[in-house]
Amino acid sequence: MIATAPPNMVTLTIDGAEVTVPAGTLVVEAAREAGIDVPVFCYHPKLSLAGACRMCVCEIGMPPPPGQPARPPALLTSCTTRVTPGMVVNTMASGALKARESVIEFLLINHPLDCPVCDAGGECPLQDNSHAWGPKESRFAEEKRLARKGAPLSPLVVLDQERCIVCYRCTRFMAEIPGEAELDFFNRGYSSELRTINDEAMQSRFQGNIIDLCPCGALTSETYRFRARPHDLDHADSVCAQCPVGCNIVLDSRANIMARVRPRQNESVNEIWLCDKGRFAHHYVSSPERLTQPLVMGDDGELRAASWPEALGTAAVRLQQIKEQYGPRAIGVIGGRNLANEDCYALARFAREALETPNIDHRAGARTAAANPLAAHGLDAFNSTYGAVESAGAVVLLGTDVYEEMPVFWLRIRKAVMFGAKLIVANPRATEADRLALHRLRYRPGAELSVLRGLLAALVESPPHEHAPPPAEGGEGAPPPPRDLSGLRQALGGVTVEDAARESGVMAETLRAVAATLAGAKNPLIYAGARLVIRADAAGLAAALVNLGGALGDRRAVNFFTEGANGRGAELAGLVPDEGGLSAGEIIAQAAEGKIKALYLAGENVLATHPDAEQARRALENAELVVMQELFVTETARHADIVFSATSLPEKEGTLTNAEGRVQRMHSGVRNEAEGRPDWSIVSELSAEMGVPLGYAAAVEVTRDLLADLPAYAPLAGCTIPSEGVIAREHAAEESAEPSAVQWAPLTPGPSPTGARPLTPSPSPTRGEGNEGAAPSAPTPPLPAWERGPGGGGLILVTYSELLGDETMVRPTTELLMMVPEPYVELNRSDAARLGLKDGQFAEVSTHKGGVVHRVRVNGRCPEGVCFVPDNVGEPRVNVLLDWESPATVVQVRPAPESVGVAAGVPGTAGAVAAEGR
Amino acid sequence: MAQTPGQPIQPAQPQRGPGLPVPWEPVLSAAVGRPNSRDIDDYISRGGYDALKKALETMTPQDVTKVVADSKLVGRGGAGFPTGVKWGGTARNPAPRYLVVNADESEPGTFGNRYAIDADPHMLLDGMIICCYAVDIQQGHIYIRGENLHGFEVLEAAITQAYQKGILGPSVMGKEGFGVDIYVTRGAGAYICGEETALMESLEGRRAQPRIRPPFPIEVGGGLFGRPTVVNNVETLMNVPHIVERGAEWFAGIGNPACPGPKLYTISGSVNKPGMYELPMGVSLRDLIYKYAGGMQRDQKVKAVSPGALACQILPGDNLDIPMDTATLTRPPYFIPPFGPVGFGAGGIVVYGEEVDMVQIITNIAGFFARESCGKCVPCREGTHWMLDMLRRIASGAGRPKDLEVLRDVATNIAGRKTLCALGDFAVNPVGSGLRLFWDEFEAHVTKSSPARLLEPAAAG
Repeated sequence: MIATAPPNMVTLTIDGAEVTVPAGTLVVEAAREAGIDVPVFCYHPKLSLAGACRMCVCEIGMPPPPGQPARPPALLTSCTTRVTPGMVVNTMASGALKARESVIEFLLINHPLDCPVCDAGGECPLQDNSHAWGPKESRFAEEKRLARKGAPLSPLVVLDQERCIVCYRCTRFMAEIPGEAELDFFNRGYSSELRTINDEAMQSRFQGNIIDLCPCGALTSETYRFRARPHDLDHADSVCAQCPVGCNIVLDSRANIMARVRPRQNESVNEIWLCDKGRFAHHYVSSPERLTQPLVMGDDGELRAASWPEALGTAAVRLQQIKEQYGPRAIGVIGGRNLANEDCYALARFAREALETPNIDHRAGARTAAANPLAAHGLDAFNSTYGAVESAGAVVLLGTDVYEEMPVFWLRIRKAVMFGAKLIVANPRATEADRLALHRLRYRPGAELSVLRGLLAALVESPPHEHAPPPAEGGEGAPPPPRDLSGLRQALGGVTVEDAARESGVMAETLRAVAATLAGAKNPLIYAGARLVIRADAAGLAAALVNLGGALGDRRAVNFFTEGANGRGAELAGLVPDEGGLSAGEIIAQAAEGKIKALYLAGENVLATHPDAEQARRALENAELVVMQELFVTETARHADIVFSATSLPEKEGTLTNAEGRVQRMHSGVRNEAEGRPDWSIVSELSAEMGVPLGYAAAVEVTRDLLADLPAYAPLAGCTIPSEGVIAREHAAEESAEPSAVQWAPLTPGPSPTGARPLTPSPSPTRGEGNEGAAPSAPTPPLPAWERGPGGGGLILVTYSELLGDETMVRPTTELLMMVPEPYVELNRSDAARLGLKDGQFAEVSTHKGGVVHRVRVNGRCPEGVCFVPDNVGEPRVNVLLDWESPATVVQVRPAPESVGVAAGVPGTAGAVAAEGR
Repeated sequence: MAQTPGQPIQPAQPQRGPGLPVPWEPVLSAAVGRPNSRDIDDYISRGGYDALKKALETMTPQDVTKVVADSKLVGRGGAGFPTGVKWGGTARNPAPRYLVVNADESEPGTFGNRYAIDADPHMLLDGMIICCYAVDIQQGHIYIRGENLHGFEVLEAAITQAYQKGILGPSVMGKEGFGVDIYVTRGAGAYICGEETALMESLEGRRAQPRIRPPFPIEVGGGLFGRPTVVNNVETLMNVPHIVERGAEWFAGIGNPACPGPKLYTISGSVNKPGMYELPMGVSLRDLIYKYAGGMQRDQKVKAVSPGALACQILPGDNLDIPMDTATLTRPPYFIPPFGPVGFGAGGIVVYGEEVDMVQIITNIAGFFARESCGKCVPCREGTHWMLDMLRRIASGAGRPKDLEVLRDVATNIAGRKTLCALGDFAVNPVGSGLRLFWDEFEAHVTKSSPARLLEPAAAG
């Protein structure tokens, strides 16, 4: 008796109840739908099927074929059996119960049963299932298996092989989700043991997830093990503060000290994953190095502790003085990308209402005033959602190393590629994403615009509808209507594919092939790196990107990444230059020349992040007043006159807005027990001291105001933010259904729209790529070292951040610091040979500004003529080489005396062999 | 015969086949002992590759599949699946398809493939190419047991000759549009690789562990590199040229009509002339032992028999009239719950005389399966080793009376398709049936009368 189910739905009976589920559903999932929990160990909905643990066996009967007698039901694993109409499942059949009991018995005979000292105790599926389904007593009279205990798989993850139940969740995760099969089972059968390949330490940035997946205590966290019991922990739902992805997390603390961070499921953002930076880098919150109270510069030139009233009073008086003496334009405010929305909003109000300066920016090193270069085209900076990538037929990554920049979003891109999306990676240097790319565009550093022009020219040559697959195939959707690209042809102004190929260094055939791939793909999506937004030619890039989107069918395909935990939030909260205001980079440049007299820095370590360390130092020295809100006494803070002790994001209540524009709530995981105050409170009180009270006493008041006040959040005013967050949009860009109505952005070659410094590079040392701007917006860009070829001496420097650098927020987590690479300079083989450098030697990398000594990595990632140095590793940072005023950074690389190299220090020990510990 | 708990085997009225055609001429092992039999010219001089020629010139692929189906040839690896049905099913699934030959013969007591490949490698290639023609396959893989280096070299040499003669390559025997390439891959020493899905995992370069079915190998997603794949045993394919050559009726008339054809029996244990004997399917155990294998050593009585090497259930020695074939030994009364069919495997018969201590034998067998368990699924990984530990203890005289019940229960917990692949059942077949048949012997080992206990009183606990 089967109820008629809609097509593609299947009705079956589970434990006497009829259940209707989509065809293809696994029995275990169908049972969950019906509210019946079938116990599992190896099954995980995010991983491939293993059928290994046999825990989920149920008695499953199939309806007999017509005219034949019914066959007796069979014991089948419900995690590998898909529903069929009329199937009868008995999850509690006596045979199934006996089989489950025997599985638990088999699992426990060699398990050490050390629950009282096991980290997993209390949150362990093996423990829970043993209680629920296992035998009452042990019949095992033999010797238990002995195996590795306390064996590190990396500095972060520790294995207890004796506890392992060999469910293959960890190995499947590593092979399937990040695609980094660094783990496998070695030996066979009873002797199976988990090891890393060649017994080398795991290098993956996602390895912490295997601790969550492990259904027993075999895999534990080096930073958490033996430090707490689950029932001792306090939990707070929060959002990760380490990158713009905005992964949902739970902050677990014990006695007000952060114990660990766990991912929290949000299918729209991080699914259930978390990268290792987000998971492990939380010790800074409870670090003894934290600033505990405000500091004020004494007459002796040393910072000394001060009370809040003194610090606030001093700051207010001196800011007021400068404002009156030099005018409000002599004040620059930088910061906010690592602060909560509430802090950003209060800071923006403080800057505009109390300081009355237009010089406000959250983007360190930015050269242009437009924080969102797509706003000119009626678009948001990010116009899709993370989830949209899963239905994209093609994905373009332009000038970004998304693996390092937004690691958990990379997992979703990777999933899309695994399901058939075509990946196109355009970057001056090979990235992790290249491994999966269909096309790799290795362009000259800074030549993004030429690449885009080439793609547009190729599309004009051979319009998209010619590439569309015949509609019969697949049978879904109509072919794209022919688009009139004559306007685009005009906008291109006669640039040909060959021109673009010459300028960019990418072969014309490749550009044409990429254009054809894009034109033939459904819902292509384009992601541009965060560093492109702050470049001098950002407006030109935006126009070209919008045209590319338009030519492919939807201008909303264009998305810019952002930097910092809350870069998008800071932008939406108004931490952007006002009309005539200076960008962050310009503020520092002018401060160095003494034109800006006061710097207000909110959580921005400009000495490390401004793309010219020497200039930043001058700025701090020449400014009459430097006020900071900080967590630590950073090198920048040592130059400050007043440093307010702020609270960190895990200590805050409030909201964050991630790169896609999703506003998410975060709750305080630990209280600040020192004299730290939230940033919104600091500026609110400072404002009051200056006679312009903002009137905030609690974070919720700021939240309420900012939701009501800011256009992007207007629809949220007065609402509760749901747990999965809400996408905030400034521009309600409706794509016109009429293809001819596409507005083609003019692509006029010439100086950058800001008019300021057209051809300057923007090598900002935060995240992003291709910051050497080789005058891409000029019609015939100068071709520096690249074209001068071997013997010209210099190499173009490319730099961006590794996910894991020895940053203030990482350094207190010593285990994670072990994963930080030793500072290095990466060279192409032929350049290395020419320069007489071998892999592993030390080299001095220098410009007229300064030099660093790093170990040489010789590989094929950089093309000839280009070298790479990460900008968040090593002391001094690579920004000592950069010159804000000059175009593309050309560096000299030469062998360094060995002694210099040793003195340079080795902060990272990544790659160390996982020692056997017992 | 001790009365033991469990279900005793009812003496069956065996279904006797027509018996030996007189005079019986070996078909598969005709070249054994012949000088130069591995050479392609010798094979051709014996009428080799005529069947292939006949198939290519006078038959459609469907005809070939039909004649194989009509012959009622069933797989010789042990599962006994009708070969024609497998081929037809694979051919219905989309190309590209593959042929995989399972030559990973690695069960103690089974060595028919080894002799057959050594004597007549071209007969295998002949059958493979015919299969490729019938199922429209361009690529065949032979997965040979790593330890059988000699067989690997013989096959490599044979394949080279076949390419030189144009029998392999882009157009087989000049047939336009029909090309076949054959590759030989050596295993690395794992019994699990004889399991067809684990074999394919290994062939693909991964850790050899069985896959989940469905999808089955003949389906998209289930076979080699995810493509529909015919997996056949060496001996199965060696029958094919003869079926094509002499017709389905000839084949179906040999031996037990339910699973007809010639069979390479390998017999070992306490017999006087262990070795390989080619006989029609369904020859009786008595004939095998006394007529061909020279009777029992020292004229012992037959105590027990492993009818298809070690993975099958042990049969008692009191009924020697059982026909030894797949059909008989997989159906009632030789289907014994909860362990299922007694099984015939690949026809490797191990005979145990009455001088043998069955506890030691079963301990030894359990050791093999515990060592060879791949470890993917829990009952087999943990259970086989637990059984081995208990058996070793019992065999050494340190067993306790209650161990036998635990042992039987553990075996029951693995048996009956509770594991991912058939190896779980294989591992408990000898233990479960051994306990049932020789409970007295086991009991003697765990009581004071145990000879082992008398030798090692300290071990008694």
